[in-house]
Amino acid sequence: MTAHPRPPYDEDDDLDLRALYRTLPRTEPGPGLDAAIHGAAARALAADRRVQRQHRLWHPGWGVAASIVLTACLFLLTDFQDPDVAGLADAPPMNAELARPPQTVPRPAPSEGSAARRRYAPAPQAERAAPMAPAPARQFSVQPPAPSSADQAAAEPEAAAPDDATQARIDHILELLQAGQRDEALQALQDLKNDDPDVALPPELQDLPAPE
Amino acid sequence: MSLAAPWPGAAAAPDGCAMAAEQIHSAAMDIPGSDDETLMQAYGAGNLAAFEALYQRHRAGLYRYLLRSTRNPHLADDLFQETWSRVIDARARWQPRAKFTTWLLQIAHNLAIDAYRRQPSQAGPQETEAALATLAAAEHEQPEQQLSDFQTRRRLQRAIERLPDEQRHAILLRLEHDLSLEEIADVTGAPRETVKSRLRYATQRIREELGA
Repeated sequence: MTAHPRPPYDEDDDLDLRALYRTLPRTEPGPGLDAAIHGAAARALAADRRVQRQHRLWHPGWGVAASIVLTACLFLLTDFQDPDVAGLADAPPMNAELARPPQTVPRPAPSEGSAARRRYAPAPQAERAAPMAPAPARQFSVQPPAPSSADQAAAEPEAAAPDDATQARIDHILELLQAGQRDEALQALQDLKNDDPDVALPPELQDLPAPE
Repeated sequence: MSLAAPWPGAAAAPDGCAMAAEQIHSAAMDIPGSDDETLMQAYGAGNLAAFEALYQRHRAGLYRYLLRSTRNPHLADDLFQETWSRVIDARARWQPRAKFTTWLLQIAHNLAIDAYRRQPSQAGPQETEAALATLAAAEHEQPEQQLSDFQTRRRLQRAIERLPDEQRHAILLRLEHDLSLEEIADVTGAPRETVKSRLRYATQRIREELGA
């Protein structure tokens, strides 16, 4: 076997071959092949146009825009109509009077008539709304605070104050004293103390002795 | 050797890909002056005239490459149509990362290789003789010259057909499309040195055939 030398390949070595190759017949595809490929290319573009028209009818951008508008509307409605959600963070400061828990007024003992009336009367608004009221609201209906000492001091004299008849008898006793009828005044005072031992007397009558 | 581009503007194709989008989409684009990559993008954007220009530029060279690679006109027709079908299918996603010619020949080359694997020998003597019968002599040549040139071209054609597949592919890419070593390596997927070796052997065998 003969070893063939390997000449270095130069890209200019085949110039004569390339010139000779160009003399070979310039074979070309037939017209039928050309028409088939042109037809395929045109059909592909027509299909593209159909798809583009379909996309144009309902572009995805419209869907995105509709979603944004719907979301914005939901946010707006929620802000203005839902009190549980509306502006908890930036709520105005609470008035001290409003913040005070509601005071419960003690009801008088129900009489027979009032019980009958209540039996046939419509239920009060608060009672009707009670089942609908949220449970946490009950936490604010606490007992009223205990009365202060000043209130107690004001309430005690008011309880021992003489009524009109007693006051009239005291005034009569004072008039008798001023008229110099001391014995009769002492007797009236004694009668008054007998009738009402706890009567509050004015200072000028407290030091008078009992009648002889 | 300088690689002459087979059409104006093809050599500068990668740099010419930065054509403005409005020019690609415009029906009034300069199709004859546009490079292959721009035409392919224009076709992907819906310009059928751009595809027709692209097809006219490459139809003959591609068809001859397939015909002389496969040595089977029917198979060449099928592969030619399949190659352009793949170009059409890729119209929308095609990006000018490489020269259009390289990409087009890669498709054709891979299809031919697949065809070899499915059907190893396609060259029949009748088809070869029919191809050789198309070698028409020029009328201005003298009879002796005509005979000599005819025999030379016939020997060249036979020499190419007798080459091993890899060498035949490489020399056809070189002679038909004037591709460089690097471009042939890109099309065939073989290393540059392998392509160089194939070209050297192919050139040597053809010269031996011509000198016989």
